[in-house]
Amino acid sequence: MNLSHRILNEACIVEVEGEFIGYKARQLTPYIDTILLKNTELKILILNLGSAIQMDSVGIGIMLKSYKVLQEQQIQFALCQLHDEMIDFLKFIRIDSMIPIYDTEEDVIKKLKEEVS
Amino acid sequence: MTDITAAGENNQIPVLNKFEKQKTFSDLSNVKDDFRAVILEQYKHITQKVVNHQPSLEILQLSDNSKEMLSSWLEKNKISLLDNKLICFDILRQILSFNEKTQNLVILEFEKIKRKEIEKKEQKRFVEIIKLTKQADPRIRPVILNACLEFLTRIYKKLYNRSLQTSSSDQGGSYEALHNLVVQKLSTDLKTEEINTFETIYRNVFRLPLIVRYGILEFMYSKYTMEYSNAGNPGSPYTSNENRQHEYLRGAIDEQLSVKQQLERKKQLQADKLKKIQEKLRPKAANDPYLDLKREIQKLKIIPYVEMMIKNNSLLKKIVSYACDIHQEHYHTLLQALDTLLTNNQKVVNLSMEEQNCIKSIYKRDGSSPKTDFSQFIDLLNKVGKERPELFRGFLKNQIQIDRNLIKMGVCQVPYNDEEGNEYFAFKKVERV
Repeated sequence: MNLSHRILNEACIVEVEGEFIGYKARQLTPYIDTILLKNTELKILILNLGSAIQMDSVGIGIMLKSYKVLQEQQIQFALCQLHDEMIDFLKFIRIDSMIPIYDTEEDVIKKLKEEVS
Repeated sequence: MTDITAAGENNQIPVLNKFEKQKTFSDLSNVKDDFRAVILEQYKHITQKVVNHQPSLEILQLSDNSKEMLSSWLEKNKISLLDNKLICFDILRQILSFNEKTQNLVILEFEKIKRKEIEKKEQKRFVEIIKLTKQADPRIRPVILNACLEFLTRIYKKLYNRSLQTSSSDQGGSYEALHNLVVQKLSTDLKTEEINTFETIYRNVFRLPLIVRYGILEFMYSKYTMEYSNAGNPGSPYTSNENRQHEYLRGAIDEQLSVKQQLERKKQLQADKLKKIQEKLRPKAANDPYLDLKREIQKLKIIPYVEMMIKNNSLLKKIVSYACDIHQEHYHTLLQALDTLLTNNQKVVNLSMEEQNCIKSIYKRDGSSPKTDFSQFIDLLNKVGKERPELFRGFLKNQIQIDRNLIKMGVCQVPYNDEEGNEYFAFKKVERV
């Protein structure tokens, strides 16, 4: 699994590539911690799973953990570009009611900006 | 009947002992009532038979002197042999009160005359008894047979002060003939032990004096022909003696049934106890929050050597051990393979990076102790992968399948840190995260 990120104003887009599962998925937590340390003005963090080929219960757990950490710091968290199967999974367990899911990064940014304004 | 009993109790029939192999009647009078009554009853039957067939003093083939003595006694008492059959008992008793030599003669003659007739009756009775035994309820059959055997043993103990012997050397030709007849009749429908009991009974019956052994047969026969439940009840059509015999039989049967019932009761209590323990050990479905999860996992096929890696995650441990119960075969095969590999100390690392990462994730995720030598652990897994690739691939595949099913059930694995800062994963319902 490879992780990369981009900063767009007050938003950060983290891209996940490969298997977002098990041991690999755990890398996300310290990665986000580092971003937060370096970017104290962040208002939005978007997890782009467009290049993720697999996700397991650990991946979901890591996502939820990240959501809680970000919420404590009043940073909005969202997901985008998920495969249909992943969306089904997340909807099935009703995560979509906690973490918003969008089709594209632009959709996320646009929506979240609307909410802020 | 009343006369006979009274006579016995007053020691007025000492000659009866002559029927019983020279033993004195005083000995017989010391015998318990129920036993004595049976003997006397049979004595009565025999005397009646004598009278029925040849109501004359000639049948006894007494010496002239004896005949004279008997005739004078009859005249003195104005008794005719034809008048009353029961009187014959007194006549016979009187005869047998002669001196010992005369008594013996009388007995010998009597037995000589009547032997054939009695043996015929015995034969008939035996066959009838066998037939009835076959018809009897198999549960009661051994009880009755044992009651007969016990009765016979009591007679032996009283008469000869010894227990039953299973072999005898003084059995005559008639015994052999009867034996063959009985064995033939017994060869079907009866159990081996029942046949053996029968053999023991009549082998020993034949060692008794003629007059007694017929009584034994009658006793046995009565066990089947008399209505057990009616015996001894008011209005019962049977004589008091027959009722006595039934009481004895009832006692024997009740005793055996009581033992049987006690055993059954004991068994039942043990079964109930076991059931209670099992119910206690069985997890209560209503209170088990992971029941659905367990059910889901139950449907899956997993190779549960994950258990070996689990240290701190109690839920996962539960789940895996639950799965282990379902797939014991796989579990043992894998453990065996691990054991073999460890013993041989083989070092084979032949897994792809992807597989190694998967194992690594499992190792970490399942919270294995950080103190464990990880390189040794991964070596071990690699060995298994090499030695049993089909199991290993299956394991990895099933890991993914299990995980998907966990997600479907709304369960995910959430990281947490212990006091020492070690990170573990716990299964949690999403809404509780």
